[in-house]
Amino acid sequence: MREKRGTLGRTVGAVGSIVSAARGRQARGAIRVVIYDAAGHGRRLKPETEDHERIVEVAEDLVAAVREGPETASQSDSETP
Amino acid sequence: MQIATVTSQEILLSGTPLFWRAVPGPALTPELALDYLDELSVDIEAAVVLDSAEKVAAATVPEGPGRDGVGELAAKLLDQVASAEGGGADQVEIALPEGGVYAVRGEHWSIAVVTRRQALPSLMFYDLRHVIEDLGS
Repeated sequence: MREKRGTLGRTVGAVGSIVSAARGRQARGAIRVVIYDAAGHGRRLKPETEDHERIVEVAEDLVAAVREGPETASQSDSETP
Repeated sequence: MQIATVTSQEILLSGTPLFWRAVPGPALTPELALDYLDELSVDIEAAVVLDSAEKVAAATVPEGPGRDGVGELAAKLLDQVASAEGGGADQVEIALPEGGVYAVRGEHWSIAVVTRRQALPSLMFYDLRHVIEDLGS
């Protein structure tokens, strides 16, 4: 038999579901790129397109530069002949 | 004029700050913008403000090559966004497994931030746009 839950229990359950869903999305590690024009209209770039890949690459470098320092992020760019 | 002077003297003697309302408050500077963003959102890990020449005006990254590198990456990111198919884009949201990146290019200033994964895009863009407007020209 299903356990009856009060208002608080239902609220906690709902929050738990939202958190679980968020964790699930995070676990999947989906990369999303959305660009917006000046009017605020957004457009999600399709994965594996050239624009998507270029933007993600720079964004990953930016995150690495912030967290680990510029040397790590620019390793791929610092190859000298 | 004489009446105004007498009145102002009375106000001054009463201890009321006479001119504070007439003096404009300090404009938002790039450094203050970083503090402002820090107060607005706990999700922001790092931020960089670029001027119209795409030079770093302020950043949470310490002075040095790292700071310049972050600025260059932010400018490069916004260039990539502007040149994306369709054109005309001036802001971007990138959700990565390791965090989020949000960047907005304004007429005179641009801002890029690195956030934790849970940042809400609508709020983030609202804050970034707001700061760019307050920075003015």
